[in-house]
Amino acid sequence: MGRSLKKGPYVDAKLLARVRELNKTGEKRVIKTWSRRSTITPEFVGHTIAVHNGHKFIPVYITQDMVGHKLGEFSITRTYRGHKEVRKAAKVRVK
Amino acid sequence: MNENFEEGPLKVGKILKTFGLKGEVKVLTEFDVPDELLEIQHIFVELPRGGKKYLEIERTRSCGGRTLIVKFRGIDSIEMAEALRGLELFVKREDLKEPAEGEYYIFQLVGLKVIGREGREIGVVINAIKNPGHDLLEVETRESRVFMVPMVKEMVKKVDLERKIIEVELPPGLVPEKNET
Repeated sequence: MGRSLKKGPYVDAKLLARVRELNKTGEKRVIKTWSRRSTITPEFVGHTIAVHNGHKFIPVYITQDMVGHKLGEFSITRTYRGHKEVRKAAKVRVK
Repeated sequence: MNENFEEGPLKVGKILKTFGLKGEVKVLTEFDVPDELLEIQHIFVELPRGGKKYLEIERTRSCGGRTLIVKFRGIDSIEMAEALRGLELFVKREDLKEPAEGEYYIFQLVGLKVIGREGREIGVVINAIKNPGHDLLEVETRESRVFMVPMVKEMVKKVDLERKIIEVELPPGLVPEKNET
């Protein structure tokens, strides 16, 4: 069962307050958070949020297409380290 | 296997298991678009007893995700395909296709210097990580502190493979301070 529409999306109050404060000042400082369950709202767009994955903080640059998702979706908790990435023909992209 | 990662062959996939009775195999590729495997010529496997065996792709079928059903020329029975099970597919670096604009092979980025806005050296790329949302560069500073840089145009301004530098514009708080762990 989904969350009641009356309540609106869940966002950690402290995190939201920090984002609003940065929006007021126009600053682009990295915000650290443990709140993986917080929903990304349009106010977050353009900010970099370091989301804890249980081990370390993963910086997530928030873009418009991330709105509505949870922060934890972009900070993976399990990394397979079986093979050195450098020996694979795997590619990465600057978005 | 050659341990020198700056020169050795690169893994492009792994033969997972046989598929059907006519010599087809299921391959897990290293590419997001598995059909890129078709564009590579001179794929080879390293045989368990030593030596290389070059394989030529006859046809492929999509199998979802990064997997493909591949028929190699000359492999016509399940018995022949069984001998390939578990082997990794390699390619020489010079045989790899040039990546699209804004795309880089991980081995191209490792070792590049990361330069800040004022021309100050921030660190060296030690790895690049595929991540949902955007990929990440793992950077190590001179003080051996490791941090990550989101691979977005707002931060990674220029990648110069010839000069072996990456120009970045990082927001405050991304590079760990001296007393941070």
